[in-house]
Amino acid sequence: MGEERIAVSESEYYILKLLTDKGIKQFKLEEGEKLIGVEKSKLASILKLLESKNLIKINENRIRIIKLTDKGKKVLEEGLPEEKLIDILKDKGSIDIIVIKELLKEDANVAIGQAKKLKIIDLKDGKVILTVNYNDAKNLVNKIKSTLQNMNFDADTEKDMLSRGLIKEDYVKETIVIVEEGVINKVEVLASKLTHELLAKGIWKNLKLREYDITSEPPTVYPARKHYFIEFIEELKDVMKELGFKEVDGPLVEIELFNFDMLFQPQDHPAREIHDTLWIKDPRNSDISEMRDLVDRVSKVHERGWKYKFSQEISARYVLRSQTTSVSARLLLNKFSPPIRYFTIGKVYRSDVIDASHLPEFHQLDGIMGDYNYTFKDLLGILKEFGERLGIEIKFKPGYFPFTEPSVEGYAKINDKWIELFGAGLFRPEVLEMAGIDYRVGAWGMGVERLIMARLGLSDIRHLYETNYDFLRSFKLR
Amino acid sequence: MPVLKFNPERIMNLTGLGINALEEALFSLKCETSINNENQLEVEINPDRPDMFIGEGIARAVKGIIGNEIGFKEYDYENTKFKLVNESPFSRPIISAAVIYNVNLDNDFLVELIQFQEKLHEGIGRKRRKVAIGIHDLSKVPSNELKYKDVNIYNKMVPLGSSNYTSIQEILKNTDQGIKYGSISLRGNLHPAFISGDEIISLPPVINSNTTRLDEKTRDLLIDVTGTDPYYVNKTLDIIVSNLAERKDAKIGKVEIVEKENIKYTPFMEKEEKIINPDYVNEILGEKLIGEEIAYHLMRMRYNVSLDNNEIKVIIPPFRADIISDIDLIEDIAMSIGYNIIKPNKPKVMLRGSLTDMTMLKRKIRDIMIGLGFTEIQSLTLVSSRILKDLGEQNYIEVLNPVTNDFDSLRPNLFVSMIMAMKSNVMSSKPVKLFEIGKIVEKVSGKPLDKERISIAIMDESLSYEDIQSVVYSLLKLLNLEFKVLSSSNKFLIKGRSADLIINNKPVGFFGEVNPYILEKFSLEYPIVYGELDLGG
Repeated sequence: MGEERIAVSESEYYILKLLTDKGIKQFKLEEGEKLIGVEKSKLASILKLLESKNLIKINENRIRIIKLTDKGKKVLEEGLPEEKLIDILKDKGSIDIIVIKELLKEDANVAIGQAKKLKIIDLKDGKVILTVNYNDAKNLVNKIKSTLQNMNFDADTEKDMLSRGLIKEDYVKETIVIVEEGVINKVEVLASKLTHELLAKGIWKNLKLREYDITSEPPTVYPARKHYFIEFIEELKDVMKELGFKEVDGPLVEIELFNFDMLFQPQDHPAREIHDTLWIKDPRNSDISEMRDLVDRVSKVHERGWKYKFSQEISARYVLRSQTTSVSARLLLNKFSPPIRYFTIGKVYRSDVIDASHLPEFHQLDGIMGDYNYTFKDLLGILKEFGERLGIEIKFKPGYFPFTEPSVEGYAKINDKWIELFGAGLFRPEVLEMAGIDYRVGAWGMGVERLIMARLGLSDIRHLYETNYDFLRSFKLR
Repeated sequence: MPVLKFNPERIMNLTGLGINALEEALFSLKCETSINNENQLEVEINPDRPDMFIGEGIARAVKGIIGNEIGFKEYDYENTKFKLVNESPFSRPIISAAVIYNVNLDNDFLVELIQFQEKLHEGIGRKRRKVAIGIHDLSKVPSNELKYKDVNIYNKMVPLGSSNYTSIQEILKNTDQGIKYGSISLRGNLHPAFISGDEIISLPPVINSNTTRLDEKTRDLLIDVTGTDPYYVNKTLDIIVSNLAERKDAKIGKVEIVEKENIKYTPFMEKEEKIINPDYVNEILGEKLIGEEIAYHLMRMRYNVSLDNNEIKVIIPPFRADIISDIDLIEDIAMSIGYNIIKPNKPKVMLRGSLTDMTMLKRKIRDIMIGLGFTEIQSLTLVSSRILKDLGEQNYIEVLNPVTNDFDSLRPNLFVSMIMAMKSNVMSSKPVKLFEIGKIVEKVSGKPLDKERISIAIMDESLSYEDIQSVVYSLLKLLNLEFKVLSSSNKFLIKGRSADLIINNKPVGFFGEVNPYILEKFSLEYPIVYGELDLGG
């Protein structure tokens, strides 16, 4: 780890790195933009930040400068007064002082005083006399003039010029940035997040990511969700598949032959009346003429068992299927060679008024399994196994269904309560006779809604059909 | 399933059990029990056991299964002076009758007896169409001479609960019972009547006469059972009589019934016999029971049994109406053993399970849709025809007898469900991205046919054709399907901003921008883009 590094921002780091790469140790701020190609005001503020972290030094100096005065400028254009003086004296060598004053006016005194100081004139008898050769005098004066032109004086001259009011003193500020050697190694970048730029520019190597207040609440995000109810149905399908069942499907609009008759439900059974069975308006009946043999067989078994007159017209009526056992009834007709295991999961319809525990349609799972030596104990075994795979304790109660005998109801212990979960049994010999099957078949049917409601702790069945987007996306699993 | 209410004290007295033991015994006899708010014992009794619709019947079964009493007893009976001439009314030709002495009603029992009668009417009686029961206070029956015949509806009687002679016509028209059951047996101006002397004492299957009304002081009963089927009429009478005969000191009296030249004495108290083979029992149950064990279990279930050379002769008591085949006896044997005592066989045979191609396809599609950011919904297949009409649909299946108008039709598309789902999402955070995979039902050449489909929809502040096009294309390409699109004239979508989807030269779906005309109908103020595709049958 080494010594503690100083945290800098990405842009601070960028400036330091540029300076280091270019080998700049010191520069004037004013020249910075040109030097490293960063806009002046931005550069200044970043350098201030770097200075505050003691990574660079910024010295601000007050510098004395000498400036020409207006008078000085005029002198440079028109010539120095002493220059004018020697030019007047050039030919005659000596001129009356009064004439001089006449010619040079207000410059006269300065011209005489300065020339005297240069020891190039003398005053005698009211006359100004050039005491040296004109050219020498001119050279001397030009020398003075050029120091003014070049603003380059020795101390005396400067003092002299100042007193003559040709130049004046002034002060300016100068900002010097001093970059310490190796400063780049003392810093690390503090970033709020990694970016493509940080990675691409290699800055990440000296990167320190800002630490979060990791306990503060993040913004809420929701995933797209599969529907929890369908997920459960798929889970059931997987359990059935694992238990060796093959999935099949059957029609929602069924005929009474398969929904009831094949299941040995007498045609005058209360469950087949208007208050329990949903028929369709059009067409009312299906054409079952091609199933004559089957219908005759069904008719015979019904009349023998239930002692009433069977109606083939009732068999042909369409109903919204009231149980998925209708699919099993159709399946039996295929006379698959045993052992068999089949299942279906689908919607069924009942004449129920909607409330918290009833909808006019719900899902059922129906399974059948069969073999020549299939027994009631085998049936109980698979039911128990089914429960175990779902992690549910099952107990059995004798039950009644027109198409099974012995019949059994399965109760599941969910949240410490026993709830009725499924109905099962061995298909009655009458059912097998109708189907023309010579081996025994166990069957079970289960409403799916009740189980998932218990699982999810839902008290209202309508929640299974909730379509509110936010509800669905925020639905918590159990 | 019939739910019956009892005074728990009475049932505990009859069975000699405390409440917990009673409920447990009833559970093993197929009955679910609970105590309701009025402190009554509610018992859910399966329709195959009408003999348990009254306390005496429950007690008989319970005492059997706990092993306190086994087999069934032959009840005493004597002949009576009652003679019933049956002129076989046209619509309801069958009648049987019985007298029972020393039934000794009290308040509790009277209530239970009426409940018994009602539940029998509903179940075995098929709401009185097949079988109807009249129960009379014997001491109030005017004459020993009984007649059952069609009478003109201008005849009068005193209906139950009234004290005035009223014409049958009025009774049928004005009483609750008349309105409910009056049309069952009425043929023209004729209605069956049960007559004692000159007095109509019952109008089967509608109402009894007030003349022979039961009260808590009634001791002896006359019972008539009428109907359309001799088997069920006599079975019902046998069930009633064998339960009332369980009352202390009760005695059965037979009634002479004259039908043309035939004379019979009812109740028959008919006992059927079946021979059952122990091997068959073991084959079904997967047990290894010997003959004696089977015999004992059957006796606990109140059959009488004789064992003969490994063949079991079972005598089925007259009160059992549910024994159609040997298999029904085997269930009783299993119940006696106890369903939770029988050891289940752990599944041994290994078979290869499988899921349908449709299930597999749906799983793939769901994964893709989730990946595309769509949330799954599921909705009912039953919808309202009112909404379908609003959408201009014609080809759909309507329910003949719906419970409510809200669920009177099967949806012919998923659009109707999705548009309703979007309606429930007007306030949700946008964009709302939903899909559903579900069944629809169409009429194809006049027949109902269901199909799986997928619907996809987005609702947002602003949307265009490409928003749905890109999703549909992505789905189809990922499913490796080759498809074409044609300009669509789908009525739900905007022309020129919608497409029909063609696979193998067949239209399989459509997608595009939902027509504002439809959005307005459903008060949707956000644009929606929508797609719907067939997945197959």
